[in-house]
Amino acid sequence: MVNVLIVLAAILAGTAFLLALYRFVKGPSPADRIVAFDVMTIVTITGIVLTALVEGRGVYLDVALIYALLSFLGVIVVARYLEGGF
Amino acid sequence: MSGLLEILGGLLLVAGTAFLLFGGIGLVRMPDVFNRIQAGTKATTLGTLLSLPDRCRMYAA
Repeated sequence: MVNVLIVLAAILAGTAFLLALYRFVKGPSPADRIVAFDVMTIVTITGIVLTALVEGRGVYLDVALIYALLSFLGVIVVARYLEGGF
Repeated sequence: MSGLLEILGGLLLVAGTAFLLFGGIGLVRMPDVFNRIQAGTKATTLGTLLSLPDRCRMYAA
C-alpha cells in the first residue's frame, strides 16, 4: 500500500519535472526559463527528500535544505543579471 | 497505529506531488509570463509543504 503510494508520488513528481523541462526548453523569454528553472529545483527538492524516505537515511534532508538555499540564490543571481545589475 | 500513520503520510505525499503536477501543467498551459509565475510558485510551494510531513514517520517510527 505505502510502496504503491510512493511510486505514484514519484511518477507525479517526474511528470511535473518533465513539464517544467518542456517550458525551460521552449520558453519564449528568459523570464519563462527562470520560472521553469525554479519549478525544476523545487521538484528536485521533493525528489531528494523522497530519496531520503526510501533509503531511510536522514542525511539527505540536510542535502535538500542546502540545495533549496543554493537554488534560491541561483534564481536571484540570474534575475539580477537580466535586470542589468552587477 | 504505525500502519495508519504510514498510510496517512503516503496520502499526504501523493497530494503534495499532485500539486507539483498541477504547477507543471499550469507552467505549460498559462499564456503569459506573470500567469506562469503565479502557477509556478504558489502551487509548487503548497505541494512541497504537503509532501514534507510524510518524512515525520522516519523519526516517529
